[in-house]
Amino acid sequence: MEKEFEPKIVAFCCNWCSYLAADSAGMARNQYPSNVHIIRCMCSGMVHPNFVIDALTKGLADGVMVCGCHPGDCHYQDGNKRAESRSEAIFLMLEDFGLEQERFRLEWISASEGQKFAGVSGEMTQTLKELGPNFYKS
Amino acid sequence: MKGSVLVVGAGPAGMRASSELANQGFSVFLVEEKPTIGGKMAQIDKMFPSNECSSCTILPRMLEIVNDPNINIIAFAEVLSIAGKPGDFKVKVLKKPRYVDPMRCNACTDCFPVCPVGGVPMEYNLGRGASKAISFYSPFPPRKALIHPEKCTYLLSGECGDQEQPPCVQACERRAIDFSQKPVTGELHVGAVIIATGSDELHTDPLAEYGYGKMPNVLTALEYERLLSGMGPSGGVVKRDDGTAPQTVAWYVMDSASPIGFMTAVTEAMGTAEKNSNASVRVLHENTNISRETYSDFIQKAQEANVKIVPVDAVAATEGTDGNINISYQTAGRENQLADVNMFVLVPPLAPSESAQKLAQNIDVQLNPWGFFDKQSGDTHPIHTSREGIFVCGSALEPKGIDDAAIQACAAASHAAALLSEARGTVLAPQPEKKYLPITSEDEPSIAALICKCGPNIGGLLDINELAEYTASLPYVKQVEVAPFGCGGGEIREMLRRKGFNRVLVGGCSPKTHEEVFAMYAEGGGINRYLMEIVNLRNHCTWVHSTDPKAATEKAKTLMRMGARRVALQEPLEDIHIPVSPAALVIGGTPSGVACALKLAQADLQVYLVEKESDLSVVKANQSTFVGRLIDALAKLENARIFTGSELGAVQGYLGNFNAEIITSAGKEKVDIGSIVIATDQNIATPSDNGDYEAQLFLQRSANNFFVGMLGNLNPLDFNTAGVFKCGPARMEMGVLDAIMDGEGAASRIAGIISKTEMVKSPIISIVVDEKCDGCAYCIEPCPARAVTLIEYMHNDGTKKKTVEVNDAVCLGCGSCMATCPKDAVYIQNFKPEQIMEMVQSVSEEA
Repeated sequence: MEKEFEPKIVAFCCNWCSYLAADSAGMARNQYPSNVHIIRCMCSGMVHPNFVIDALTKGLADGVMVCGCHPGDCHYQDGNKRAESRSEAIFLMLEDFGLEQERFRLEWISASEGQKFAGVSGEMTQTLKELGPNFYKS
Repeated sequence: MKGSVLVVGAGPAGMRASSELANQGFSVFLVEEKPTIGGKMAQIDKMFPSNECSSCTILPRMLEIVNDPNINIIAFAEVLSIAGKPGDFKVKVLKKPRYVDPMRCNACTDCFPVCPVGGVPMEYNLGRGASKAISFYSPFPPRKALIHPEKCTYLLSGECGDQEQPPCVQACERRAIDFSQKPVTGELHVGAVIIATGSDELHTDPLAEYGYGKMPNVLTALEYERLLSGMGPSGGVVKRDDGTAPQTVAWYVMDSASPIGFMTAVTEAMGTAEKNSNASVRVLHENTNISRETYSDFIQKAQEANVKIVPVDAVAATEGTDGNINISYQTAGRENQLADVNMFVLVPPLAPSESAQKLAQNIDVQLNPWGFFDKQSGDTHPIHTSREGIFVCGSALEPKGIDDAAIQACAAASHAAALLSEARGTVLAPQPEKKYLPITSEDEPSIAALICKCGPNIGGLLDINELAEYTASLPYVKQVEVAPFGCGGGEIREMLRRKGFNRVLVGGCSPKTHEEVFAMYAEGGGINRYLMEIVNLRNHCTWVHSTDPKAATEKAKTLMRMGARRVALQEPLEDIHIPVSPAALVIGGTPSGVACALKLAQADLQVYLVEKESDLSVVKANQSTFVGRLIDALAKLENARIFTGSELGAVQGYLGNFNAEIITSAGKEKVDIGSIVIATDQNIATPSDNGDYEAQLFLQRSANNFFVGMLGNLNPLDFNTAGVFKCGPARMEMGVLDAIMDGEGAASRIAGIISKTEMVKSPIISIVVDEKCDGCAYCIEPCPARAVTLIEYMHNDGTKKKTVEVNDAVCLGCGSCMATCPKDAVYIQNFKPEQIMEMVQSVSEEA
């Protein structure tokens, strides 16, 4: 039997909210697929669009998530808003590169929302399984 | 005189007073009666008027004070007596037994599943949810297990299980369980005391009239907060007792005298509407008067989010069908209204915390008739208790929002600092001298790797041998050791005793909780703390993939690969030291400004006060005798220079290093200051012929002309421009006593900067690569700290080059500049694009 496609997912999580959300998911034993790999950043506003685009167009990941604090909760006032406006550019670039919009996801997840982190990770994994591998992966 | 302070109560006010004092050079004992810190702020879901997540906002603050060597947290303890006089108090403290040695317990939780006693209602969740007889009290620090003596079989009967030792003792590899613990009394020697014991819901008979205790879906506001909280018993999903989600919820605010209950109800209703947009939510209140602008704005926002606000005269509740509650109420001037609601939340009046009365008796301090620490006689300053040298702040004085509690905590800290100024810095924890191995960029990385099993938490799921073997095969990894509990430090110290390593990689638990501990071990072994990386194998792998050991082991390998690649590219960094001008500038001789200057001067700090009127007595004539006394006291202090009939000219500089021009009738004078506070009246427009400090300091005002600053509840006195503060009517309408406390609070914020000769800050900041920067300046606007400026310089050959420059003193290290740069010309230390992309690359590879 052929092995089921297991997407590789990179999740950029901010140091103040969503990284802690992933920690909370652990504490509460909220289960999610092992496809998601977290990279800690100081702020969601630190994530250069190139990190996302390179990860996808170089075929390094099947999907990328950027997770930050809810609007108004940003440790640096408005880094998450910057992440949001950059995400619009990211979606446009995905289109240019012929990549599905679903391969990128921006989420606001607070430190206490472990369940949400697990939920979003599960959804993202499922979506990418249905979408199949990133065609930039040779 | 002792340079240490006792703070009683570790809620937001007590925690804040502690960190303010530690920051000003005092040592703090923080005594908390509960087993964990955080108070009500950690229990509630969201705060008004900012609607910020409460537990997420307080958690980083908790970790900060837990890691502060000058704050000694004594949890699960009470104060028995205070003898002595201001400057020299002897405090008796009783520590209650947890039956677990906190020095040994590492929060592995192995003892929980083996405990045969379940169903213990969780006090932290107000009886909702259940734990074992050995458990954590809450998700917050200090994260140590605790045995409930009234439930524990062994403590009740002397035996548990069929073996010689109880199962929990057998399960605990670190031998932390200690049934022989007894209450212990100790003595602390401090110079001043701050009481911050907070408030609690008053549970009295009227609650029962509305069905509380009889109908399962009638609950109190604090109980409802636990249901809303993501860290609560239902993970943030509000459920009725039968497990269904409520569609209609009503709140009844039982105390109309204070805005706090009403605001709490509105915040909860809004939180409910945010989680379930179909829910019908209404807040019944008896004409609570809300005068504060930020509060009324919040209420308006809630109404826009479909929260109905209903002024009522009389409310009654009877049992309905299906667990519902039939409520009836009279709206102002209208007929009786009936409603059938799924849940009914009562918001009782707030009373002093249960232990306040006992504490007041123990330490001989007066309470007011309602039991708050508000003296009935003597001087009128709210922060002074009836006993000199003992101060009070936060809701222990009267119920208040978290923003006001933060200000009062700062004010109380400035009173204690003024009292103990001559002992500042005398009892601080010694700073260990750091000796690192010299590493140059030519040195090849040599990684010592440790895999922590965390008992069964990691070791029970992963194939540890396979993971260790794989880790050893990763580039630059020279040695791998496996530890049952790496946080004990034995294995890592042993490994680093062998020379030749220059980096440390730890596979274990979360860096958010253990970075400090492992950094300490790395430094002990001569390795710079920034050359240490923790891979979160527990929270991000074994705990969340616990049903699939094979997949979890594969992911663990990937995570170790990511960590190894990252740490290989890390650079040794040193803390940044920034010299500080040890003086402050107060703009405005208002009661706030005078109170601020007085507290700074009393704390032996240099202060300049600029007032446009010709004499402070003009201010005095318009104010109470209380303010008059402050002005007289200030005039007597040599280190306060008062410039009356003066204006501010040009202001330049940044946190710790400002300079300002003061224009007096006699001419111009220049002063160097480390910090500035705006204490003007609201309606004074700054721009004058002499200068425009508002523009020079990037200060902003609201539509109503009030100064606005940092978002959020915890820093109401801070501007976004670091080192600049605001207080009194300059930031919102307030009475004279509040204005004075505002000024004193600002004094504490300022003293935190100027009481030291230099500031020490994290080196995780932005670095500009001049060769790559073409001066496009895209990075300037996104910087929340305004740390980036465009400069131009000339090469030796006469050609000009534009580039950006980052001010180390104010850069927050958020990386907004990095994400904006089209040329990869600016990066955050140890978050370089190549480090991040190496980690992404690692994800793509197979083990």
